[in-house]
Amino acid sequence: MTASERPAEILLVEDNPGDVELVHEALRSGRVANRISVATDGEEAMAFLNRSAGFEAAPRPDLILLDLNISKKDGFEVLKEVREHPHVSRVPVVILTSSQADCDILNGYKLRANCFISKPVDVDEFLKAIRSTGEFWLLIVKLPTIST
Amino acid sequence: MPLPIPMRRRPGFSFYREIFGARPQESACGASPESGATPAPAAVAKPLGAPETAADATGKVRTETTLDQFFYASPSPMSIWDLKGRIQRANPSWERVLGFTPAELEGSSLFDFVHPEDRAAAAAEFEQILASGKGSGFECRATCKDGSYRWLLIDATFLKEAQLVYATVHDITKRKTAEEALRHSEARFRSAFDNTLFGMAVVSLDGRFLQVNQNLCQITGFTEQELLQTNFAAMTHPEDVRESLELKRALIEGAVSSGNINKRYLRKNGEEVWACAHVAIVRDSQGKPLHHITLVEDLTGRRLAEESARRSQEWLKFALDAAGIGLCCREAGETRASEQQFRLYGHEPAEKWLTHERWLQSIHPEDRERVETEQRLAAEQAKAYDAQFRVVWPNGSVRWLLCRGKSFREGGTLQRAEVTVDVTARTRAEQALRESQEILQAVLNSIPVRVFWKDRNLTYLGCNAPFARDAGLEKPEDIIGKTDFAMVWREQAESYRAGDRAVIESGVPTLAVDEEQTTPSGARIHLLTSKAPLRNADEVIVGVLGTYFEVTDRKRAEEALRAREQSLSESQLIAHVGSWSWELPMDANACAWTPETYRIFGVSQDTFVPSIDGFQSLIHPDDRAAMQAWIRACLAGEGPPDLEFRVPLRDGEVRYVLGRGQLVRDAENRPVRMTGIAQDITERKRMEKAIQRHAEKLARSNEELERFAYVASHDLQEPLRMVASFTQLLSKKYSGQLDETADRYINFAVDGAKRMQALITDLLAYSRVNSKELDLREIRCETAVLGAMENLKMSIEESGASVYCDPLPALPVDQPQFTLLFQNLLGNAIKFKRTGVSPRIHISAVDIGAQWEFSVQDNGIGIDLRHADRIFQAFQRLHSRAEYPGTGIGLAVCKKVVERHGGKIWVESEVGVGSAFRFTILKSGGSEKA
Repeated sequence: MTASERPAEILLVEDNPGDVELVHEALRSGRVANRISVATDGEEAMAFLNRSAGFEAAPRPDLILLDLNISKKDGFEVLKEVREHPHVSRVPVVILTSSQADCDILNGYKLRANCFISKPVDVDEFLKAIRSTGEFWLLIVKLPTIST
Repeated sequence: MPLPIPMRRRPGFSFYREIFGARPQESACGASPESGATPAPAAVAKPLGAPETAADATGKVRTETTLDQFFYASPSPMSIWDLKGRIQRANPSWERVLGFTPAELEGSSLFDFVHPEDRAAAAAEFEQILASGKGSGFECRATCKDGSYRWLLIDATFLKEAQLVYATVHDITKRKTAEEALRHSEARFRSAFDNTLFGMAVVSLDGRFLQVNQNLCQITGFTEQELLQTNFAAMTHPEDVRESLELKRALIEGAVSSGNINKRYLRKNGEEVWACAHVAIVRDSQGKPLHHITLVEDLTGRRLAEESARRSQEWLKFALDAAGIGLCCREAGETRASEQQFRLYGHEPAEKWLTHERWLQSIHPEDRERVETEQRLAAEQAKAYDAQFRVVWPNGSVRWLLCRGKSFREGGTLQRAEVTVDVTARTRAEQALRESQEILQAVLNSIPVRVFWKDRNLTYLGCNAPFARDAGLEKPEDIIGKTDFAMVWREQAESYRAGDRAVIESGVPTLAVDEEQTTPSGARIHLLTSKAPLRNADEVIVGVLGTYFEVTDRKRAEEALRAREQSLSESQLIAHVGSWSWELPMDANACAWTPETYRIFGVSQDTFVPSIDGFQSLIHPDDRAAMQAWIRACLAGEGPPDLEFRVPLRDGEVRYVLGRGQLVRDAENRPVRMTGIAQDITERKRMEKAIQRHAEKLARSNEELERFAYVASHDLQEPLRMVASFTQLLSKKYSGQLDETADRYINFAVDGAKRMQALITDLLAYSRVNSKELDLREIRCETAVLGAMENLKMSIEESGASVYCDPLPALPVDQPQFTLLFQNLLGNAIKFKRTGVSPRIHISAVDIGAQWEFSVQDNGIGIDLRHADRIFQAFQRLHSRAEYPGTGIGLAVCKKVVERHGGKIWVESEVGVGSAFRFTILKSGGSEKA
């Protein structure tokens, strides 16, 4: 099955249920069919990616939306581990956070996040941003094929 | 005049006559020329007339007889006397002799006319004549009419029969006088003969001694008797005999009348004696040689005398020469002078210098007239003179001479004898003394020191000119006799006098005593007086000598200095700064500390002596190494000027000291000393620490606050976003499905959420402005303006605003913040525009020294300046949200940005006209103030 035939797998690492709702809302009516998995903290995220306890059947994500402000393992650590992961190192990671701090932005790019998005305050802007991001990374961008 | 020699009979053998060849008989005639004609001896009047004539002589007048004629005509005075001596008759010749007429004589007693002294003898003679009947001539003096006396020789005869005495008289006055003279001469001669120092002899023509005197006996050693037996040749040295005889012959022949010969006589004992024989020949009245008179001068004596005289002269000369005294005698145009006399005038002895003209020439021109006049006057008045004058020697040197002499007339000639002595040295000494006295006086009068001296009674004996001036006197002499009570300083008189008395009594001088004195003007001045006892040549204290000088200025200066030192000390005390000075090399420990320095190091001035080691020991052990390094660096002329170190005090307190030092060099750039200060900065340090702690606390607090603000706003964003987002979603999804109220409620919620979001966004922005580090880069400020305008593009277009920007400087600023600054200001200018008026904004900048002053001027609604301060506070709004949107954070942000750049911001405005926002930005480094 090719990536374009099945729905895109998106891993959303976010502890704020509101934002989870909004992301769902944003991607629900987009042009890309997708299935969103949510991890609420860093460890859960890694368990998902590692297909460890409880997540044996976790799909490999096509896009990771990563919030920095998560517990147990913070976003940068997850990012680091993702990039070093044998299987998911090439997955685009989009940092999605409320922080506008330059140092976070810098750090994010340094740790090889694909891009950094500050969550817009306005809800419409937020929905638009998420939708665009999804479309961009899932439709426009060509990714290397990943062996499952 | 007949001389009062007792009358005597003519001597039978007249010594004088024997020598000079006058016979007794002849002399009577020869000696009385007025008796003249008649050589008849004892011319006795023997009248040839009858006795009757004689008897009638008394009463009867002259009968003319031949005898009468003879009587009257006789040139010799004749007279007839009675037995009583009364003059019966006298002839006219009496008048010639005595001046009396016969009439005057006749009737008087003859004795009346006899000199009183001769009367007794005359009376005796008269008696004799009466007795013997014959008158042998006797001599007596008779009175003349004019009162004088004349000698008369009276030859008288007594005629018994007539009882009258007939007398003829001869005026023998002349003869008598001559006799007297002769007798005197005789006497003198005899005297001379006997008493002369010479040997004298009367020698016959054949050489026999006729008469010798005692001296000759002495000279020759023979007695008078022996000499009279011999002749001179026998006594003459054989070798001289011939010469003697020759002389004798010459004398006899008349070739010469006298002569002398130096010859040797042979004494009785055979000794030779040199003598000078002066021989004269005596002739009689016819010129026949009678005998010789020889004067024998014992040359031995003369020789000795000569010798002695010569020696005396030599001694005199020697003495005079030794004494430098010159002798000079002027006599009748001839001048004789001793050798020394010449030398005194600078000449070698030579005749030519003796003239008056030459002498005058030698005298110094200035003294010439005076000296000549003095001498001339002295000569005229035959007085002694004493002149001191200068002479100019041929070699040009000038010397002073003292000349004492006397001019006198002797024998009709003007003679002058004078003694001259060179007093140059003395004169110069006198001059030097005078000069030194003058100098001394001048010194006394010109030194600024006052000098005075008093006697034991403390009465002033004298003073110098400055003293006199102080006392208000015209000249120093005016002080003599006064006491201190009479002076202008009578207030201090007692005190001065007490000091004087102490010195006089103790004999010990007092030096440099501080005293006050009242001046003539009434002011008070300060003196430094020294007094010493005044002693005379015998070392007895006769008074007191004092000197003083005014030290008022010095005292004032001292006081001023003391005051300043005091002031300095106080300042140092107040400032806790002590100064020190260390002479190099330092280990000589020649240093000086001010009192504050001692205090700072916690040591006492009385007990601690500053030294290198002592100083080190006062410092905290941990700081000693640094101190040594600092000293070394200072000595090398380099290194840090300041050093902070600790001084632990005995009570446990640790003092912080700031040391500052400086190397002082001399004119040759060699280091001579280190000077510096030590400041007690304990207080400062404590305060510094406190401030630092405070600042740290503040910073921490600020930091926390900022973090809080940041975190708060950041963390507030999340829930706010939820609220806003879902209420909006709610609104979107369910609009129309709920009633109006629900819609309204939802709108309020959304609105509220949005507002809160705006507030938080602004707060976040504000806190970011605060917390973010300034990234100062020099940019042209126009860039920030342009950036702001870009961000406000929409608003500018919508409002039709025009922005004019003057050339702005390039300044080191944080660009994003600076852009935000302009953005807010421009945004406000556009927002608060006047209705219907397009915003016109003018941006300019002015250089005001260390800063630039920017202006953003608009033509908006303006601001009531009552609110001028409020508007810069966060969230302060002057208008309702309905009128103008905005959170009110804009100007607070501007203020923050400006303040972070070290500037100030304010507004000038007029309601309805516009506003001008001005702010300053530091030119350099724009750093915010701590």
